Amino acid sequence: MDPALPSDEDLLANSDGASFEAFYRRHAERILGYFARRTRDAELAADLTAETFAAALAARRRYRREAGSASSWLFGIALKKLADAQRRGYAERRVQRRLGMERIELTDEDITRIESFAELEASTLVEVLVTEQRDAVTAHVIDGRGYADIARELNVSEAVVRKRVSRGLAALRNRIGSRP
Amino acid sequence: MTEDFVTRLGHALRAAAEREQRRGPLMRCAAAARSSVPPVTRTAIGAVGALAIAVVFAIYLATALGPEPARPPDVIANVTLARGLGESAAAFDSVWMVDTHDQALLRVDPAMRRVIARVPLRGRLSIAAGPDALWVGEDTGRGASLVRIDPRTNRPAARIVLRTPAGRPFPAGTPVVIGDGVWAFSINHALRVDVRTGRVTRLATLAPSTVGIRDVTAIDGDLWALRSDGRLARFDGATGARKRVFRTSFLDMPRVVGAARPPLLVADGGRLARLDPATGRAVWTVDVAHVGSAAMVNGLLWIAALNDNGERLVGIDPRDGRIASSTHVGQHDSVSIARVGREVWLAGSGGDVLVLRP
Repeated sequence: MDPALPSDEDLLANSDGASFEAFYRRHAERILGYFARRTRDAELAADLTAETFAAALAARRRYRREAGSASSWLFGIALKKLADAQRRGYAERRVQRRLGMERIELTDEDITRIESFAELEASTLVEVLVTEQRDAVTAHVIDGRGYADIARELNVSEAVVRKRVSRGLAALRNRIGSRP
Repeated sequence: MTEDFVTRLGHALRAAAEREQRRGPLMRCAAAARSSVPPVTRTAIGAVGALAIAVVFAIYLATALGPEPARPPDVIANVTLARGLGESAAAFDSVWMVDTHDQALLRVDPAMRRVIARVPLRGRLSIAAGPDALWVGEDTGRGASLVRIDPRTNRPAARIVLRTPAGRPFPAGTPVVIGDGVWAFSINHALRVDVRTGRVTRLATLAPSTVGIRDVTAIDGDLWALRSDGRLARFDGATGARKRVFRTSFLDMPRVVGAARPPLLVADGGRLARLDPATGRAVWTVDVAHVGSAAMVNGLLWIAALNDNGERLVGIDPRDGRIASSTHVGQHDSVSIARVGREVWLAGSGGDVLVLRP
């Protein structure tokens, strides 16, 4: 990152709207892409993205640098929102309502674009892997998350995550190499 | 050029952040005032405050419940049926529930309150009861199907892959059964499947491409679709032909509340309204937060209303919107409500079912 630019942590520490919007812009597509690949539902992915950032906005004063990077913190919120939505069958809008945010309706172009996140060849390729390797490769390579972050989510050691990613990538290389 | 979703959400978040910032100094003053008051004084102020709130709440309840409050419903059972539950429907002498955790349809004996059959399915599931079968919308994200479940065998009797007449995939949405047709919904279209032949017979446009559909329900053989622009549109339940469009601008971001033999109910985050189907105007409006679905039992309309203090089962007189009963049910987190004989079943997101008898 350009050292002249404020860090994610600095942006969260500032209370002005422009700082939070800058933080959002750094992570919006990554979070939206993550939800699009996980849900394969553009509407749900958009709703989850909006609720995740609304929750981050509402909770940003409680963020502490000692607890980890702002990126990991944001992903933690996203994981919880996804788990809630899978449990409920729909995405909540509780925090958005509290913040007075209206639901953003998607246009056909929005839907096409969000769906394109879920149709990346990489995310399709990983479907051939066994579940453990697929989850690790998706989280690390496609979603760009750190090993420690993934290890916490999967409740395994970092070494295990590294091994799964390594073996998963090797399996993909073999598969791509075997294509006619 | 129209801004994309990411840009529009960025603007909305920035505006929300600025509102929060403006609210900030007042909140900080309040927090500072709280921290500067000695603990003993704080306790005394707290006690007086709590008493005042209790008095006001008692007056409010006395006013809201009217002269003849209904007896609060008895909680007669709390059973765990799965690790996660979704939609539910009472039909064929059973209660049918979506197991969201294991992606299955559960058939529950209403007397024993036990799962008597489990139908494994895939993806996001939604259900609707027809005259001789239960219909399940099965959406895996890569394709959707309507699955016909035969209640005599508890097995899928047909699986109809949803495609438009042009052959494009179509999502399942929550199916709606009207006569001999089952409707499935996308963001602005509806697809009718003939239940006898399993063939797609109609693709209807419910809203222009720039306007989405929030919710759809069936009343008196017609489809009622609530659009994202706040308008309510009525369509012929057999042909999908548009009959009328109403404005519902009195509510912020409304949605249709489904119920068995319902009046036409619309809710937003803080209010519930009964609409006159002839005019689209509100017959009454009542302040209740986060209304889920609804069920009519003993002449009252029962809804699960949620706020920050937990959840309440609220009984409303459908004629005038009077709150006739309100019972705290804790942090149950109801996702659907079903009328089962004279009971109300609240399916919780965590897999628990709360059974109440009004």
